[in-house]
Amino acid sequence: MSFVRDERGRIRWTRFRRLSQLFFVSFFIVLPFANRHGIVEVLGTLASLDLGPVSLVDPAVGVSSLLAGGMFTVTILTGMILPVLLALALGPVFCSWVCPWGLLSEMVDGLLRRQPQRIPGWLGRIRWGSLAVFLGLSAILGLPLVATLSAPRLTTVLPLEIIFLGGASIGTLSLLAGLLVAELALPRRLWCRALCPVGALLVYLRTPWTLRVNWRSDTCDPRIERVKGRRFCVWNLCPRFLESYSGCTNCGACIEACPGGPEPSLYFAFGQRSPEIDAASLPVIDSAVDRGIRK
Amino acid sequence: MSWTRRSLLTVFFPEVLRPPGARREEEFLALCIKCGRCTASCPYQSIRQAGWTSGLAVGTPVIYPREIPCYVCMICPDVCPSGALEPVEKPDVDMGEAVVDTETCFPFLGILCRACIDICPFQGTAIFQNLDLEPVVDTEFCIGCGLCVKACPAEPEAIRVIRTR
Repeated sequence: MSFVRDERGRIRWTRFRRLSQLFFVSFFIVLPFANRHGIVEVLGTLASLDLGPVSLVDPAVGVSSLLAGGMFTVTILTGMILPVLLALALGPVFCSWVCPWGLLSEMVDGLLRRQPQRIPGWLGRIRWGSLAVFLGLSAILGLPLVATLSAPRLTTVLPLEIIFLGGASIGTLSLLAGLLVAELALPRRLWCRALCPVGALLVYLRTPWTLRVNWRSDTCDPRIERVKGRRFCVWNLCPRFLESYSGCTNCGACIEACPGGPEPSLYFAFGQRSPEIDAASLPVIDSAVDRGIRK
Repeated sequence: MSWTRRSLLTVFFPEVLRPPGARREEEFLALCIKCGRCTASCPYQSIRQAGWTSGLAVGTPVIYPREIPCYVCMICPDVCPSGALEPVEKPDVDMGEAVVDTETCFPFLGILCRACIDICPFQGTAIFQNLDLEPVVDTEFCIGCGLCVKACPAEPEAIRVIRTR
């Protein structure tokens, strides 16, 4: 047992993910203090972050601004390159490893002890629709709506407002309150899974070689197919039925929850290694089994 | 400008001052991604963020000169990633134009005062005293930084900056 691995010899993905999320939360709390004291080499929020030589721009925010204004700067275009490359290589890890709203959403989810739900089939269409509505309205109204409602921007601009403007603005607070209401009123984590335009665009930035969860057909227990509820996955996904645009954020929770020894049947790999299986041919198992397989 | 845009801008958005180097309001609102980089870069804390009364423009940078005016250090246009603020030379900054309220301005009431003239970074050209010792603004040279608005001893201020673009 160590810091890196648990008693079964598994890498503690969730622990590292929490550390990563907490790092970014504290980074954006400390940053305005540093700015206030004259350190302005690093500047910004998760809409756009200036890291001295490198400037980063949220791809969805950048595209929204481009559509709204019909023009762009070199900074906007070059700033999107690194986030896009990150998503192309590692998948939408921004949602699960970086975004402070993602952390908050997971905490609310955990506190409410929400029950597992089946993934509605229309989820993918909602994600497309939401992205199309956000970008379409940006172009029609001439306002970058993605930036206005981007949860990562709102959460990271909050400490900046408190430190620079002497208090959080009612505008930011009411938008965040609206997101929180959506979090509580809508199905489990629907904003993060399907409505958030930032995450939606990252989900679609995918190649056949993007990092994803794979499974070993020789060791994976066939009895745990088609489990009705998968509470260990915050998105209620089954790693054996990952479609390309399922929205899996590579958080690693399923790999940690996978039964067995130090070499789990689930593993991260670039591209799809495991075979396709016909979901209809497998027996449906009650979620009690799911509870049984979680430690 | 489409009707949706016009209604959103005029109904929901009051006239406010933008940081120096801002594009025309319509383009500015289209480009600004509300990242807060200008707010965080301002050494004077002049750049605030539009509140919920601004409708969909909530979170865009604004300057309230009576509270903290713009000292025209020109740092913010350089940190703007979206091009909503463009780097320009100081004399070419066009945030607005100062307008003197002749009903409340002290010299117009017979009280000698040159607070606005002394503070102006372009004094003598942008604002000067006429033969009656009253302040006169030359709109061609005034950049709308609002230093005069902050300096004005009248309450409420007898000089305001009106956005012109």
